[in-house]
Amino acid sequence: MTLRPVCLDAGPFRLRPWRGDDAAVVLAAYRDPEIRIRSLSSVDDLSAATAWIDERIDGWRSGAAAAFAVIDPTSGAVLGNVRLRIDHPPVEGEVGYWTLPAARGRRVASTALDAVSGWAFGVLGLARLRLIHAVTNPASCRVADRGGFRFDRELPPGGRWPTPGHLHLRGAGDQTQPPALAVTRMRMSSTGEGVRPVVVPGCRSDI
Amino acid sequence: MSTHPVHYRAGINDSSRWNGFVFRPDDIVISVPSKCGTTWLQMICALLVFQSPELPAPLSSLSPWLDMRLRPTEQVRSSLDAQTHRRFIKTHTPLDGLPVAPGVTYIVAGRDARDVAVSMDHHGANLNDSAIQRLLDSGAQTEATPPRSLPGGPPGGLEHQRERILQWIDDDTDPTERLGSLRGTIHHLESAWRRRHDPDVILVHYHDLTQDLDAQMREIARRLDLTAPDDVWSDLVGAATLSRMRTHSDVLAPNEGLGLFMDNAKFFRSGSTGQWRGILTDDDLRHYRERLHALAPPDLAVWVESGGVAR
Repeated sequence: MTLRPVCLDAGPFRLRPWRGDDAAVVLAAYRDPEIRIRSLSSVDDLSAATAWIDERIDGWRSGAAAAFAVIDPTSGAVLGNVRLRIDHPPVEGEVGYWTLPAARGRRVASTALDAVSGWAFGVLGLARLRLIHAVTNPASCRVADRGGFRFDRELPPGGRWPTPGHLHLRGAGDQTQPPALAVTRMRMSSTGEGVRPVVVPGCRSDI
Repeated sequence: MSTHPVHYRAGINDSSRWNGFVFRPDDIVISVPSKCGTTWLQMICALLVFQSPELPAPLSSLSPWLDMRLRPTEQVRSSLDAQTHRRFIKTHTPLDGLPVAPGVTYIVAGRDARDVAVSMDHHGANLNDSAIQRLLDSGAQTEATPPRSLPGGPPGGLEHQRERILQWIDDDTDPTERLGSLRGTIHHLESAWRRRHDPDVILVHYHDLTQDLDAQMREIARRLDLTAPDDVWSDLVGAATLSRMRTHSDVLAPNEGLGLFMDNAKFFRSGSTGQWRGILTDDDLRHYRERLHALAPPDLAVWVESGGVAR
């Protein structure tokens, strides 16, 4: 399944696919020690940041993953990252995220995770999402809880994870209704001329 | 034409299960994209073959789905070998993925792809994921996967449904891996469109079946060299209406006796056309049309939406 690029409203934030002109902010993010140490990626210069973005754009084309920049809809500033990796066949997925230092404490990640989960269940038809974080990262445990991911069990080191981790899960049936889909590239809006589609401002999904 | 059929392995479909299948010279292969009228064509064939509105067995037993992976191939072939009536075999594999055998007739049906998208959306919500996963695992002990669908229909509201349909329209996965998309549906129909003048290919359109079922059944019967006595004809046509089929969903829904659906009756949910009008915006429809014309030659694109004689 290849993925149709979309933008999502997430309460006070907006999610859009990563773009080529985000390289500088990606490089800045990976200079933060907290992101650097928790991430499975390594970004040391602009070239690596561009490659990081290219990989995320390819994810939409191949259907392997949907990666979003979380932005402030007013300023357009990037606040964080949420990525949904999709299993093959596309029944389950795994989420990962980081928040830039200046945006921490605003529940950026948990709010974005909730929006991505609604899209994954309601549009892509996934059955369950996994969230894995290091045991030594209690902040991520709180993000998982707030994002609707219940703790399932502790995982030993292995695979992509060099240290013990916590597995959190969120299933499509965990709620009676999926979260309201806030919108994608086009939004239905009521006007005097009837219901018309309106382009979400600041959303460029032409990857 | 290639002598080596294309291999389609999409969802629970695997066209390699046709390899080595021994045809009979009067076999009928019903090769229809999902949600374009497969069960309808199976029912029409059943009525024409048995010449009675009362079928001797559930439709999925009379017309097995050979390349569906949820049943052992040998089991399906054995049941087909045992059939003494004229066989009419179901598949969702496009014609270029099927063996070409002398005397065999291939029936393909098309439908307005926008209606296919809406129907597919409801169909997905009615699938019993747990049952399908259990069958795919062949009883292996695997971690339980929770159901994708919420009870009561497709998840979310209109905006979710619209976005799922747009995803279906834009999904660009190669049809050999995924047929359940606009690209897969058009690819399937184009494989038949290229052969629409062949005497062994019958092209039917869902819209035409809804407009004049009697005439369409007569034409299918003529092409298959089947005749029915005048005194039963009206009964046969009556039994082939969607409303009548809906009342017999327990023996007509293609659950293969495997519990594939949450509700058999919902398989024949509506059969109506044009529901996309309340879901897709004008911009969405423009986008759909651009995509359709990028995937289909102009004459096929017109036929997909309106049916009529395929010239």
